[in-house]
Amino acid sequence: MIAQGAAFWPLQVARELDDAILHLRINELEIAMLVFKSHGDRANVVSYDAFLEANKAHWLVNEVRHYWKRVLKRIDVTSRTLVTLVEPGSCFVGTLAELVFAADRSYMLIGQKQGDNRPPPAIELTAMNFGPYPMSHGLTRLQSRFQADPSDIERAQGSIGKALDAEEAEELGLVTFALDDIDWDDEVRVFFEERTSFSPDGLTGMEANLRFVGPETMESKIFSRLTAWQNWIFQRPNAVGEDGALRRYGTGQKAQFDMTRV
Amino acid sequence: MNIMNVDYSTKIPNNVNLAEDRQVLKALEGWHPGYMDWWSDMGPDGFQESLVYLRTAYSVDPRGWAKFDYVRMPEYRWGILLAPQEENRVIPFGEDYGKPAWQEVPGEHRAMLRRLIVIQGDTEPASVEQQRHLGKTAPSLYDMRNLFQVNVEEGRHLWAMVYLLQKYFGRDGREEADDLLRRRSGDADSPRMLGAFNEATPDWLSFFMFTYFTDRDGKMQLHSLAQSGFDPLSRTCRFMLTEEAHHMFVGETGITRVVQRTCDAMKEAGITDPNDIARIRALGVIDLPTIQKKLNLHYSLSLDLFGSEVSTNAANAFNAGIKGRYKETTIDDDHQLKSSTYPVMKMVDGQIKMVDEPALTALNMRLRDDYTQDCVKGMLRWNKVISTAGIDYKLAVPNTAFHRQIGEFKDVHATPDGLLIDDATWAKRKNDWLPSTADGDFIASLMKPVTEPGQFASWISPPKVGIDNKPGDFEYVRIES
Repeated sequence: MIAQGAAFWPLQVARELDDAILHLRINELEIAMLVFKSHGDRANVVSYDAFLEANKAHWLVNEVRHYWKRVLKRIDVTSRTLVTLVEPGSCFVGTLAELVFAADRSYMLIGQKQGDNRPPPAIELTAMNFGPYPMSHGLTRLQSRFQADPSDIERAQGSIGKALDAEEAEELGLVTFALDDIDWDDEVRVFFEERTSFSPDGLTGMEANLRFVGPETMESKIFSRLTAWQNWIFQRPNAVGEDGALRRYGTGQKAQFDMTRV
Repeated sequence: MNIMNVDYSTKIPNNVNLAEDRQVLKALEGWHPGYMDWWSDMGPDGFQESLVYLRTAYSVDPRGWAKFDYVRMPEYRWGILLAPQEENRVIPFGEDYGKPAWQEVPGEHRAMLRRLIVIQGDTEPASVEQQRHLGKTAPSLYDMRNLFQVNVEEGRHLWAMVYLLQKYFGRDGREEADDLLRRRSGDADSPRMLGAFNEATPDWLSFFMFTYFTDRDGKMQLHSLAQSGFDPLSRTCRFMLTEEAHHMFVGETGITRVVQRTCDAMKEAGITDPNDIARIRALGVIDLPTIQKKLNLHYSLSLDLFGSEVSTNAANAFNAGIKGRYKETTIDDDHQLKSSTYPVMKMVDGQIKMVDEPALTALNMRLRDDYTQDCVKGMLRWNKVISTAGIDYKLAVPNTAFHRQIGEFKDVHATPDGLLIDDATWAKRKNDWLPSTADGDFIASLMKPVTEPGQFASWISPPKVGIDNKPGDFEYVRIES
């Protein structure tokens, strides 16, 4: 690991992902939606996660784990619609599976796609999904997801190490929708079109509500739900401006939105 | 494949190339058994084995699209038929006015479109359920055949909406399609979505009134949806309108024949006073004041189907390019209604007044006004029959404020002339304006089946011409077969 340095895979991915997110946030203001996909061998990701867990006392492993925690937090507070598509050939395992849980919506394919002989996708949980990567309000993404019934976490924990197909993942509540090939393209297209037509500020608020469920910490008060509402909704032209949603409500005329998201 | 002609090679006749659309074909074939179960549980009560002289669509060419033959209703070929695609069609109104019509559901408007299609779809099976007992009291084989024609075509209209749901709305579309078979007219737990479709259709006069007034609301809604920027919906509705015309015909001529028979009987008996109800009823015909009461009931229930006079939903649907106005393309304006107004009848300080509202939010009102005009046209014919017979009576539609459950006037009582009255007066006089239980019992007493070819019940005249130009004694339904 030391010899690999910056090319140590978990470190390299974290850095590249961080860079990509910052680039999109700062330079691509009109992009409404970020779509996460992954590609690779699940077994490799399982091994890296096991390595990060087994050697967590080592200073560099410790730093890499904290770095991942911060990158994922940055994704949580990104004011774009986040979608994760779990398709054949993907490797949403452990650390990378956090991208499924960070997303506002995740879609997972049931079975294969016509004309594609790769096996159906699977996701897999590891110990990394149950502690090392808390969100800004102090909960893991799964704890946040399962606020309604904490026993769902125990069920999920019981499936560690198991390759979960789309129906199992949906049953455990790990993905938003499991769709088969017949519905996949159209459902995903329509969802993308639907989200990109909404007020970006409105979405920033609603999405923050659903991402940061439950208790607040000082950190989350500054960076998460409350700040999303204070800064991006109550006083922005998309809501209260002349052609904003509140002014035009009830007239049948569509509000005009400034589609940039910050 | 020729779009004009219908492919009968698959289980489901269609002109949408289902044979090559495996996914939708699979979904529709999966839905089919549930539909057949629904038809046998909730379709016409009895007569399922009878041979009925029905028309079946074999083409969507307006010059000749149907052929007539004897069919057992469960074997009717319900199919998916869309009017031919208009080349380079553009969205004819709203925010996207002038842009190419959508061939796929625009994601932005998906939820609204789905809701409109589900509501339209829900009314189709509902009317079949409402009319299911009428076959047993049909006043003639001719009328029985018309009833069943209307029923199978309402069934086909359900198919049309289900096709749109299954083809364009994925998983939720399939769930909605199943729910259309689950809801039941008048059911306490899962009723149909709109009020008028949960009312009973207890007798044949109600049936004629229903096809005249309520199906005409359907016609107006289909006309508005036929303008839709979502092209598959527009094409579906355009073909449905071709069939719907027959349903209007059944209502209009049905009531004409009832009025004719009453006038003839009065003349023969030398009765000139239309309010001499007991003597007229003794002749075995329905007196004109009772016909007026039925008309009041069905017209007011049908007005409720147009929703609130001022409606943001209607405005949104128009602005989104999803539901237009009646004959939108022939209206001479900006088709966006950004600044125009429309007069709306409203309650202001306890009085009925016309108030100018932004035209965009007054679309329901406008469609309802178009509807009323359309209703009044057919009524001229009924009044002509009455005046030709020398009887001093006029049938008329009641005031908009009369007997309403939805919109501006739902909390007040008004007379058919539009005078506001208090609760006590309403309770006292209600039976003068709406059919009472006694009126219903009298009409029910006339509902004796007549099943001899060429014979008609005492309360209705024969039609002037037969269906498909058949002679008067044609056996439209072979009951024992």
